Amino acid sequence: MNYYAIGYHGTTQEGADTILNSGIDFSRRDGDVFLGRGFYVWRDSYKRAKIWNSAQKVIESQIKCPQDEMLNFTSIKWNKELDIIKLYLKYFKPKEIYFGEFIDFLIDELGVDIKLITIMDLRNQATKIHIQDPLDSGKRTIFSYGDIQLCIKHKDIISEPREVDDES
Amino acid sequence: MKVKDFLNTLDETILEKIDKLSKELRERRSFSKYNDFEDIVYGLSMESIKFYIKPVIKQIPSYFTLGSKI
Repeated sequence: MNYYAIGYHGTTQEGADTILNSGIDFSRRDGDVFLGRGFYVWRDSYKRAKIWNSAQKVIESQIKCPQDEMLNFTSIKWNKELDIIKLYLKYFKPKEIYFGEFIDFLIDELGVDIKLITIMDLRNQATKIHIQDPLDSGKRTIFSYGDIQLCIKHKDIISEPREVDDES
Repeated sequence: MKVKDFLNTLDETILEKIDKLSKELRERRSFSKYNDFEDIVYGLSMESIKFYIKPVIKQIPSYFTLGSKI
């Protein structure tokens, strides 16, 4: 089974030119403390990428990754992801190793096949909307949305990037 | 190696590797202060971890610990 997504990356004019002319550098942000080195994108959210660091340009790409080669922290059907977190909390955090460093250690030193990480952006509270039933004032539906961030760690799972001007 | 295979083959040799990594990181980090897990992995705040993990722990009697493998 594959995981599919469309990702948006906000960057400077110079950053966009580099990506489009030379390709994505997956070794960037070595030692990143969040999810480790990789190419970071927002799933389905052109606007979120656009406001990231007041980005001048937005790069769009398609992602396709086998589910057993990724860590998906966006689902409550966690399985291996829970074990990874337990492993980190029990053995790596006490040694003052950041989560991103831990992930890259698994890949580089232990040969674990992790090509993609997905995670909910919980820095901003998920937005809740209450929709009132037009026929029954006592009934309400709660709708919520939030953003998902992806850390792409391998070139094989991402399509040719292209610059986009808007969501269309 | 798939993530699942890695978790199934964990043994005590990883502890030595963790020590080595920890020492290397201390030497090469450009920043000196280690911040707490919650501050860094904001998407995995402790609240969200507790929320998701607790029900799972109840369902799995021999919940994953390295202790059982070492």
